[in-house]
Amino acid sequence: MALTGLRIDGRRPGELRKITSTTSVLSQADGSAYLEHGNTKVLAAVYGPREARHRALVVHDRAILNVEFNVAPFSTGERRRRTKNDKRLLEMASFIKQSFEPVVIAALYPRSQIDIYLQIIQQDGGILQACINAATLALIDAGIAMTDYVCACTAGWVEREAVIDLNHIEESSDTSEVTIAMLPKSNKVTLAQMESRLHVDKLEELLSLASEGCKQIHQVLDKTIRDRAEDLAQKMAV
Amino acid sequence: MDRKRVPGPELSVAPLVEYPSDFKRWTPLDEIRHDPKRQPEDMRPIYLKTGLISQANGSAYIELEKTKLACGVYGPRPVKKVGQVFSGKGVLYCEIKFATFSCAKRRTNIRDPQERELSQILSQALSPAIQLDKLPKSAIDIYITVLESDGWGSCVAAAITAASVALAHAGIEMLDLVAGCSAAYIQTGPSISSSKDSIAASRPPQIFMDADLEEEKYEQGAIVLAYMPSLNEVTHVLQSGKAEGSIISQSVEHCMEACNKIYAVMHHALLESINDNKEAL
Amino acid sequence: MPSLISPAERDYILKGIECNVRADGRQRPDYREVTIETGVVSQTSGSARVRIAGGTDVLVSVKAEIGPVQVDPETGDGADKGQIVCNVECAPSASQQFEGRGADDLNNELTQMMSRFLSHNTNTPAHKSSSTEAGAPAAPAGPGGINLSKLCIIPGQQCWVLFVDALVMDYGGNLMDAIFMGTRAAIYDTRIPKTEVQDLGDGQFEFEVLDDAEDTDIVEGREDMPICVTLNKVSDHFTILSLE
Repeated sequence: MALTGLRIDGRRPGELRKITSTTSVLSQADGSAYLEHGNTKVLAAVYGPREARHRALVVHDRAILNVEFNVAPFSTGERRRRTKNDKRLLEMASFIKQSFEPVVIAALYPRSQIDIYLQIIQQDGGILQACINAATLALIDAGIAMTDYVCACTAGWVEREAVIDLNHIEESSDTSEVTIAMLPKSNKVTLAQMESRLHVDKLEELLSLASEGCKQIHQVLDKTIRDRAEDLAQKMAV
Repeated sequence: MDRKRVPGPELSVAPLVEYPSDFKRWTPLDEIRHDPKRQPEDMRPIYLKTGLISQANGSAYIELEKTKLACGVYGPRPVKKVGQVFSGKGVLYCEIKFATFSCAKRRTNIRDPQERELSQILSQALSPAIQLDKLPKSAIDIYITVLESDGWGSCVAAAITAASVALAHAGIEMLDLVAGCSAAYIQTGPSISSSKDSIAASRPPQIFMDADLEEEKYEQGAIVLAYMPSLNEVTHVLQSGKAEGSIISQSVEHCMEACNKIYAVMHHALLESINDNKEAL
Repeated sequence: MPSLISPAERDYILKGIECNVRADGRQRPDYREVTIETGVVSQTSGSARVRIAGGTDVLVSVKAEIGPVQVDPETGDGADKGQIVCNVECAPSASQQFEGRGADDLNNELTQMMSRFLSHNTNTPAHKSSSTEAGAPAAPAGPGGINLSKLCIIPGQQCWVLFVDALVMDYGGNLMDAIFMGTRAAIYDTRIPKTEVQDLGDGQFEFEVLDDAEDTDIVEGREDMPICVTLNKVSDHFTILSLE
């Protein structure tokens, strides 16, 4: 961190990168969203609720969630292909699945399945948060009943200062990083993920910073949805 | 990773072959084909026989000099995979496998992308001839083993021919037999050594029917055509490399002609199998 | 992919085509509207996104990396040539059928198709081969138009490998056309860093990649790259760029 208190990319510690998002970008999917979080680009598609693919998985009183997570081979600096059952990808998928399970009102769709497909097009740190935010938009676009938005944000400890929304360079220099996903209305956390060492005294600060970030992200997502709804309403009125 | 077999050494080197001093590799400069007895439009003689694999419902063996493959057809059998949705149409499953010793370089036991693609091509070429909608809830399996490969194009063509004969031998209802034929476009003549020569470039390439491996090394492009002779309908065209449009349509014509000849061979092989059955009875 | 349509709807489409009017108002030989955007992924050497009105959406990226040359042991061919490696992936977001391993067959088919057009090396056993036209009509360009010898850095040792990755994000017919358009556009967009080779004597070479974003090479032969048009035969007529 420079003396001016600015980060590598010129942001302040509590500042998010630019987020742009659009919904209904795909023709085949029931709901879809494209989200750019700085240089991280994610495409999300939601299919369903529909008949479950495998009989064995059907639950008689609610819908099941299925998340598939893909990384484009050109998304990283060095080209790398990942197989479908890469453990890292499966883990990510299960994180996302777990954070949406309490929010989607699955009891409304018994014996059915909701599929969320995520595609990373470019990565520059904060993949998990971008995926969760994109999936939220796609689920809303698909008209699936949810109790609240799910907004995710990362916060980390870079050179003795707590910062939010880490980019790839900040992420890779051995920082402790927390990703949380929360429901902005009820202030409940549905996911908290951390893989590195951090002093317990500092955790509190990071969490509050990240939840601040989540609220900001909520405003962006909410605006996208409202704009889209307004647009649709206008088109219907004509 | 192949875990089923004992792997060979990780790195191996092909043996150095010492050719006799008067050995000359064939090049298109010679203006004749690799096999000097063949004209550009000549195919290699075909040996085709049914009933080679006794376990299969239908089978065929085809040989075009050094291209040799065996084909077995199983089915129609019920699709019994659990969880599969009902399908009103039958499923045609094809699998081409190159034997490990079939090519100059050793092939692996695991299916490689090329084999997977050829399998798809085969199933695309054959399914228009089979009335799959008459076989609901069933599947037909076609397994082809390439014992020796002498040219990629001729292998695909032979696979199509053999598979459709094996299907007929299995008694599966078809609209017509599908004959496969390949051709390669090769620039011949002495002037090609100086490729900058504009006259050489403007000379149209020769169409060599049923090219072998040696000729294939010099090809600019190749075509494989699957054709139903009595219906006069093409079921699949596979074109690779580049050539002028006129050359391509010309080679399609040539291939169709050749397919008519192959059809006679297929006919003969099937009739023979019926006669054999009669005698056995 | 093929969604179920009622017999009445089917009849409407077929009769329309007979009269040279298609369901979306086009005539038989009309193309749908195509949008091409280049330079969409900043981490690649070149990228393009192709969208065909009505759904198809393909992202093609080209990444140039340095790798060893691959020489055919028999003919010694390929020592002075770069390589092109193709890969097509259908994202499950494009169609529900692409979930899990559902797209593997299609991926493989399209990948092989692309490599056959661009590098012509599927005929010999996969990933071991070099181009098959051994010293034959030594046309300067390979079958895909791209001049592979320009991609060589040190003959017999190092060359550029162009990884062409196509990602199918949405499917609405004419996949192949979109992939080829995208590939052509992405190759046009590609910039390869210049290299400087030093001769250390004794057949030893060393090279340096010049790190100048302004001074880069284009891919030679890019104007000769193939494009592809799909025709569908509906009863007795041909239509261009049909919807499924």
